[in-house]
Amino acid sequence: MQIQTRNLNIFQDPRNLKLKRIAQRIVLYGLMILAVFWAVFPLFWVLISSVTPDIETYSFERTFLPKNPTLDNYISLFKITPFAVWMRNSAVLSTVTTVVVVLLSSMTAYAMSRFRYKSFKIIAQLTLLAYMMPAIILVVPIFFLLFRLNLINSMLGLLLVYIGTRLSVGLWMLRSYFQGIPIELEEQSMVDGATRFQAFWKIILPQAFPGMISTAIFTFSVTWQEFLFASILIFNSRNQTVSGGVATFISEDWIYSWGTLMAAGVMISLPLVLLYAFMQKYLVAGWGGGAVKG
Amino acid sequence: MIKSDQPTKKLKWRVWINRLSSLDISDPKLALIMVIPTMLIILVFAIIPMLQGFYASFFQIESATLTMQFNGLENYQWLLKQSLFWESLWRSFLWVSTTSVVQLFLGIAVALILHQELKARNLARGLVLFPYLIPAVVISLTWRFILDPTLGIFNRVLMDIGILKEPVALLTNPKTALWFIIIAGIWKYTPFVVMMTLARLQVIPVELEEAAKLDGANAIQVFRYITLPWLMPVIIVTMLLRTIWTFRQYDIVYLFAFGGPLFATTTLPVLVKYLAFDAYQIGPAAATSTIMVIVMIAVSSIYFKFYNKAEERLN
Repeated sequence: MQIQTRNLNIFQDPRNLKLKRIAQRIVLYGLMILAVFWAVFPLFWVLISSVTPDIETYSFERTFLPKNPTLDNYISLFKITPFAVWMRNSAVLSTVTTVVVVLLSSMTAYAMSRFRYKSFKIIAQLTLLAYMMPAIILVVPIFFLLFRLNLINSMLGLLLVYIGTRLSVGLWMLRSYFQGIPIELEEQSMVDGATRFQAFWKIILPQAFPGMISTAIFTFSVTWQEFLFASILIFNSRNQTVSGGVATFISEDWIYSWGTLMAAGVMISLPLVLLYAFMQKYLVAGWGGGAVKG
Repeated sequence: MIKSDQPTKKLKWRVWINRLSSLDISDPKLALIMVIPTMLIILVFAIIPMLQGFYASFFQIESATLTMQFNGLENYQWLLKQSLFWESLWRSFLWVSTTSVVQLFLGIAVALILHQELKARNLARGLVLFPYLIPAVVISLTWRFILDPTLGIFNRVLMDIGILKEPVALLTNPKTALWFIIIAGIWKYTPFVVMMTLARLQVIPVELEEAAKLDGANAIQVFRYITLPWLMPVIIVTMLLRTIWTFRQYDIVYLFAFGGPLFATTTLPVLVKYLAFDAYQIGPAAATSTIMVIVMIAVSSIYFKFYNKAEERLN
């Protein structure tokens, strides 16, 4: 019975089987293209609009692609607005935060994976708690903390906050990495006469490197995008970050040039897109891995 | 001069490395040195502020002078009487549930497609993850531009096709604003689900699927009985992370419409900001924060139960 019903299935005929496979392929490729389109179109539109002169953007006969592509929007972005200063501020803040977070959290993650103390369990739980905490509930207390330290409206204050809030995430990501490195490697080299520091430097660090890179990229991109603390702790345009600065364009009631805004959008996204394009292989393993094992 | 300066600098660096490596510190001391700075920073910038917020929720606080006066549960009582609080809670629920459920289904579907043997698969994988990298500010700019009533491509295309007779202002309409924030949230964070699911799909034991196919299972059965249980733990962790992150998300929600029009896009985090910095109600803001933490802990514990069950079933 079983065999008979199977033979009745038209797809068991080799010719139809081939047809079915082709149809399947077409559907799969179609869906893949659709997914890519959905992901990329808004960005593509921003890019196109950033090289469209405002005369065309504001005209009613706008064509999909600009008739006279121009870089004027980028020029006015850097000449008229303080965008260059914001970019520099964000670059400094994100870089310093990333370096400090990766160094401190690798050290701590190493200690937590190698030394067994009961108190480390509590530390791990506190770290998880800090990691899960919504930034918004920290904003008011941190505002008053910085106010007392006279660090409101200062980049140093913002830097401390960024390090403080990113550190728990970095530590949580790196902890699972360091736990995955076999302890025997290190013990072997210490038996051979290396000090602990040498063992850490020569044996552990190279092993943990991919994890550190992915933590670094993650920290950098999150800090680069940060808006909440920047918008609340900084009032002075000169000390603002890109996210906080460009947001002030939006909150003006009128938007004076969509072209310039779109150019700003491209410039803010570009560093992260480039970073990602060059570091892709570290990312998928690192972000997925760290979070799942966590 | 400059050239001759550089080697010595490098040498100095080497000397320091050597000095450090010849230091022999006892293990407990070393552990302390490595752990204490990190813990201090986490305490000062996360744990203590959190406790302070909890503490402050029982006080009446004058925002000008910062004088605090104990008033028990009055902040909570006041808050629970505000319809704005309940509306924000409802909007948070709507925002979290729709965004994370749609993300989940869309993300798994895209991951399954990108797991097939297709040409240009790696390129597509790279491109599909793009939205995850785009800062909230840019997303808000982009959607404001696309949906702009007079210049936006959305209105223009729909009017050209003839679906719309006159332009609609979707982001300034209290009825539609939140839904466009939800779409933007789905757009930005679906890649995260794709990433997690793909990572898990790549380590699925091939023998399992092959064996099932040999036993005559069709594609749907393979998915239902082999792939899905294998994905389950990751799906639950992903949903936990997405739920919590969406719940606490401030930037996208705020930047789209600043909580307006008429509070129509005010979720709980936006409400905290509004209470503390626009209405100068610091006590109630702290109370709202505390309620947020309680909700988060409750939701996480539910997920952890599901997670343990899914892991058990796999073993």
